[in-house]
Amino acid sequence: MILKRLLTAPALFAAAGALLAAGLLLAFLYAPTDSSSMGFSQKIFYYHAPIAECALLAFAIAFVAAILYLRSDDPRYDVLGMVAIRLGLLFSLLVMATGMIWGRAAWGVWWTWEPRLTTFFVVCLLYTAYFVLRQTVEEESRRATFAALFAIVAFISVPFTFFATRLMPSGLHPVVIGPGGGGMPGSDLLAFFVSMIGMTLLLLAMIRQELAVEHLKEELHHLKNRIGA
Amino acid sequence: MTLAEAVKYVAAAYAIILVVLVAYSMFSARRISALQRELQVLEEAVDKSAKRLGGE
Amino acid sequence: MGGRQFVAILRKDLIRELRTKEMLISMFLFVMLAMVIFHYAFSVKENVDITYFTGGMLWVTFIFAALLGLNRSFAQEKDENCLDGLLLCPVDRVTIFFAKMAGNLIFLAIIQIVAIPVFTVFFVKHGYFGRLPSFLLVVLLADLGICALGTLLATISMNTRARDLLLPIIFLPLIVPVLIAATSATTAIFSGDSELGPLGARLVFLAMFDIVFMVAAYGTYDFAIGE
Repeated sequence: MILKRLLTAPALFAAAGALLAAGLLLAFLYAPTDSSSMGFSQKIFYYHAPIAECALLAFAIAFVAAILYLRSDDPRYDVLGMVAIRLGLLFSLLVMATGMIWGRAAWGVWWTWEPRLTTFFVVCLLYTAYFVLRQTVEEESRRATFAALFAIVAFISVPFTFFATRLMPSGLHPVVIGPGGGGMPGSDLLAFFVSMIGMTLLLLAMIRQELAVEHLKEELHHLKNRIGA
Repeated sequence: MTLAEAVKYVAAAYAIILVVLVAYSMFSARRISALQRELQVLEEAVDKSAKRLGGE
Repeated sequence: MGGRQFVAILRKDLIRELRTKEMLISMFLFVMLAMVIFHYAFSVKENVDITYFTGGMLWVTFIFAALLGLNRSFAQEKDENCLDGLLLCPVDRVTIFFAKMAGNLIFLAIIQIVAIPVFTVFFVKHGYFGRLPSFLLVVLLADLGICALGTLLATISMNTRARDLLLPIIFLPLIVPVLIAATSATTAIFSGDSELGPLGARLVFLAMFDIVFMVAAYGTYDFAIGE
């Protein structure tokens, strides 16, 4: 069973890698530079935005897994939720890192309280709290239940946080990080889409891999218990 | 900001992304093989002791 | 039937607290002391105009006071095993939620009724009596969000090892939207600055937050409290 899972994970990784590489080439060779005032630094967008969307996708997966866990009590949903949130957190940290680098390159400052950066900062704090919560509950089924509750409430709060940050003036740089100019010309769009699909496949591949790790850990744990008993 | 400087920042951003994601995936893969090995060793030990008990 | 139980649970909580007033006094003292600290934090130079900070000062204070109150009210329940007794009765779990939330709301409101006039005298230079109804609406809507989310999360955190240490960690990131909206609305009201944007948007935002999270709590409270 694990073998089957692992067989597809490498395939997903390969596909993801190929698409991401293609996206990179398209971004630098095909898409035009300087469609906005940000100039060359806008190129960061082609990975930055897909990573952001994948982070949110990961949290959405955890949200669904949480609901499914509450309805079915199946611990596999709890594992899926935890894995998804762990990866979502990783991706969120990357969003912040690349966002800050982009901000520095485009506007000369390492931080600005603009909506997307601020929202992802809060998101990082929020989902770190998820793991703190898990740490404080010893009993397995209650831990899973509480984690699921938090995953649900946390995900719902994300759009609220995002819109709230748009309510408040964001200080020095009200410019929103987004695609260059007004809309996206076709060549920009292609590079973006290719990278987007590649990044999503990468997320799925990493989820599969993490699930395999957790499954193995569980089997090992059971085996050790049996021997101990 | 000159183009040369901008290129450095863009390169840094992409480098961080690649390094983090690749490193994380590789660590996970290594974790999987280690766990599989440990599982195999334990299962063999269990089989051996089961056979020994069966023989006695 | 649900109504009677709701009233019964609410009365129990109110009577218990009004007998000793421990929690109310702690919250009240905290709020007063916070104001003193805020004064010294911001008035480093003479004649510094802190009007645009007043919204933030007020709501930071209220959110931490609410945390104090939430922790206290649930810690008592846990220590005295009231909750176990309650769960043995055929009460709808959701009724317990709304009763507890109402209790927390009332305690927070009591503190605010005293704190807001004091705050106004200390820090607010412009009169806002004409905008009072809007202000009270902002306070009510923000309080609802704080208490709905706070009651749900306090129920969860009380059932963990960390108990009251965990509550701020899981509560604060979730309450950020309310803090942002309430703060900007309050500053707009206190300063009378119409450039700060339409109040209506913030009120609608707070109302939607309240509705969404009350529905979420309604749907999930069985799991939070189940033993």
